[in-house]
Amino acid sequence: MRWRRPAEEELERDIADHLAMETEENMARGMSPEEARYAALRRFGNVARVKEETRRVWGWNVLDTWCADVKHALRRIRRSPGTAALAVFSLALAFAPSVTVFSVMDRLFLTPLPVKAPGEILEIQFRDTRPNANYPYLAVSYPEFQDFRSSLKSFSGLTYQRGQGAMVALNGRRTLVGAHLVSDDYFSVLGVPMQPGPGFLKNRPSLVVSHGFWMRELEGRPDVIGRTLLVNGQAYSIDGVATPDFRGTDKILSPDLWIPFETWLQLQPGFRAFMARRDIRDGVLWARLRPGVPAAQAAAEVESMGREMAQRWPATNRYLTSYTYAPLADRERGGINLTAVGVFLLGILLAVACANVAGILLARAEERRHETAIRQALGASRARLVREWMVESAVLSSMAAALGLAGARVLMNLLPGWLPSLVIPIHFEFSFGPRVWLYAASLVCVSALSFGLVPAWRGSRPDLLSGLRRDSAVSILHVRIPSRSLLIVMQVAAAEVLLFSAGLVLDTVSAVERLDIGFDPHRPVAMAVLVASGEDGSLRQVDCEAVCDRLARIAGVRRVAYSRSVPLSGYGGGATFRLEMPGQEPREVMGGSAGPAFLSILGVRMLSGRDLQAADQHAVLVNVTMARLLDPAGNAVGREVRLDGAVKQIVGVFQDTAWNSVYDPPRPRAIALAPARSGGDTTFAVEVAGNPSAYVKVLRNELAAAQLGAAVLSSKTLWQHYQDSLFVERTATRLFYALGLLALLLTVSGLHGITAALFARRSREFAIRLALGAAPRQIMGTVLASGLRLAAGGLVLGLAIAFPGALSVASRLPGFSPWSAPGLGLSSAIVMVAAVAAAVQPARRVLSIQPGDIVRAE
Amino acid sequence: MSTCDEKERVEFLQGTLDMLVLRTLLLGPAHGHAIAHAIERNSDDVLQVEQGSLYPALHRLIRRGWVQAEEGLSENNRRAKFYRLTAKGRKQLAIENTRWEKFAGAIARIMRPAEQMADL
Repeated sequence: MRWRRPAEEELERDIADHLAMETEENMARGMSPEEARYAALRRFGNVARVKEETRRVWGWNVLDTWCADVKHALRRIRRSPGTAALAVFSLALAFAPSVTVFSVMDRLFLTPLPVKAPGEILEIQFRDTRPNANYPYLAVSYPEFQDFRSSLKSFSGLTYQRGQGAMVALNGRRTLVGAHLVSDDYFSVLGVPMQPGPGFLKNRPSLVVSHGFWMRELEGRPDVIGRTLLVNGQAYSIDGVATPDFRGTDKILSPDLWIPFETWLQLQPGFRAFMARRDIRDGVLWARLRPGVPAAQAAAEVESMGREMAQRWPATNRYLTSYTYAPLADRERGGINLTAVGVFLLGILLAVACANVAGILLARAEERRHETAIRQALGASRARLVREWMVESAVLSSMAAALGLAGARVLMNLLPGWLPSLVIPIHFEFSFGPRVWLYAASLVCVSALSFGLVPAWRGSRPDLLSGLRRDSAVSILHVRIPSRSLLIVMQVAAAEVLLFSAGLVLDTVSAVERLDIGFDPHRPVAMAVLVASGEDGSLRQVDCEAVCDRLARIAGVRRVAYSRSVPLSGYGGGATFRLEMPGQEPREVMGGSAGPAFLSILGVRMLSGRDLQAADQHAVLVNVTMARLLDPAGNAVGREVRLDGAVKQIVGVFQDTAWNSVYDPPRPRAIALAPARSGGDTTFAVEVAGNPSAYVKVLRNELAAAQLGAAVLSSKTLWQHYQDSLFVERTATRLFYALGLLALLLTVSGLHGITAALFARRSREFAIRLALGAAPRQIMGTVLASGLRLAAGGLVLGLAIAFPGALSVASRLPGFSPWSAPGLGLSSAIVMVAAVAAAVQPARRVLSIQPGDIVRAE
Repeated sequence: MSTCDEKERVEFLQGTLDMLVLRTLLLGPAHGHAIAHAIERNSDDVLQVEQGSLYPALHRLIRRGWVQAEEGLSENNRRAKFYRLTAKGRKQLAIENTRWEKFAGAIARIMRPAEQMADL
């Protein structure tokens, strides 16, 4: 309060001057100096009060009392640090996940896509009308987009985007970044401004970079506009930076580059044939409604256009109908609802934490009754006392918020690390926006009010007589206990349900790991993806056989193979062949291509015939399901089939293999020989003697050395690759354990609070019993037992809730049993141990009772 | 000390002290001690200021901009804080004055109606 010192000093001097003058006058009237001074003081009145009143005029006293209250609160918190720490900790436990989840929801749901009038934007898609279609909903291919754009009248603009990995050469290194190939009016149709830069230019190869890329890789310098950037070896000029809030239309995966489709096709003509295929439907078509055109009319036009396409292109579109929907408006509405549900659920968590803290504070109020009574006797008003309590609550809540925000920060930094390793790195930029701060601030206020008011009101009840006599007959806590007991029982139950579920999920994951996926993930295999490119970043062909020869020379490597398609890699699993059989309609079968011996290295079992060999230009492998389709008699090997118009001979039949996910139903699949020379990304697998993880780094280095300028991506063991595909299952286990642990910690703090309250209420009774000769152990037993009774009640309730649910799941999931050891035994043990731990500390306080002190009447 | 008997002293009505301070300062800047004495003297010692209560009043007037504080020298050459009426304070005094006259007149009419006055 340094700033107020001059004014204080001046007032002091003014008063001193006044008193000096008066004293002088009195002395002039003949008083002795001492007498004169006293007379002056008498006439002046109470100096301290005058100062206080003047300060009130200045308006400082308000601040003063608040400061004093905060100081007082801090002193009280310091005096019982354990209890305060427990309160702060259990609140922070609720705050940290609340803020984290809210900020994720804020980013995903509440931040609208920064496009102009998102309600006018529709997405056009196809629907497969066949009942057993592999993919019921389909995106749009580039030629289809061009058809739509040239014919549709209801829209003022149609634009197209397609995700694409791109190799960027920058500052002497090459990085693979996510790019969106877009039609050249993309930004104008969406209504996204450039900042800085003009946007795509027509007269030169031109691209737009994301704000994140600009800051990360280009140091945010404005003079990069017009500079050249090498993408896949082709020179583009950077002609725009998207606004910071535009991270692409996808919520999570944000592209770093936007490149006009036509420019890309001109510079990489090899790509044109691929993009001209009508059945490569992996782009998103955005259409902006023409002003005044109703959405229904536009939808009707799109549907009739779809029917026309089905007639004109029967090979690819016969079963498809096109339709529109408004993803952005839907997303916004859905997002707000989801957020509301999330906030409500997080509110329950917070409510539990608040109830616990209220319990802790009530116990404290009970302990402070004597102090409160003395202060009331000295004239403290109830409002003043309530205010003090509330300030203390606010201080606790703020401390918890600080801790919770720090925790949220840590959680948010951990989040991206939990994602499986992806080929193109995701830049998951989370930040605390203004809405998150507002949410955190409201959490502090709401929680301080909800856990502080009841203890404040009860603790400040005018109760002079019994308070001063330390007579515990009338207790503050008297009424609260039953409802709190119920709450604790429910908390224990919730913790048990969550931990039980976590155990079951863990069990299920190990059951999933026992599923037959058609290959053996335990094999000693290391694998990595090679993207070959020249020094300038241009894509090159890889000589796979030369690379394999090189890898084969690594000591300890037994076998080497390359492949274009890999089981469980999450991409490339959707490729298809068109199978033509005489007398039947052509049908799609799953397809892929692999090098010689690749399937054998993964441990895919050959049921008949042999694996592919280097000379097998016209050979194909099929899985059992396809073999049965072709020849129910089981003699598929040696047969010829027409795939994508070419005649191939079946040389081997392999076991059905999970390709997209471990739950893949068996589908007909054919694997052709992958050409030994080709561009694009190629996976190399080495079978080694010994531990494959020792070879991950060696493999990466050898591949990088095999071709100058090549990028090596996701080098890992076969087991890691397999585990990455179980990402969702492992995340669910983690999530359940995290939630269960959270519930358990809250339960511990709640149990601690309630046993402490019980102890505070009955400490006098305990003292008398001790004085009468009861053993401390006996009384500790009483306190402990009361805590354990609640915990046991909660445990039974939790199991009663969770078990029937688990039984009903078990009836549908083979191999899933609710009687699993981690589910049942471990979770119950954890809950009971935690309950004992929570009750022990208050119970041990029995030992510190000095019967004489408590029983002695005041 | 006061020459007046304790019983004849009058308690201040709410807000009148401020008005009296303003009125006193109309005569010229003065320090706190002088203001207290002036009020007592000018009311023939009927109004007894608890001298200390002057200071919150002065600071209130400063906050409202009716009075300014400045350093100066007192009669016997002591350094003292002088309070001076501002233009705004002068206007305020006129307002307070009118209000007071209305108030005092009204009280007087109630306490001594015209007919009673005639009877006396």
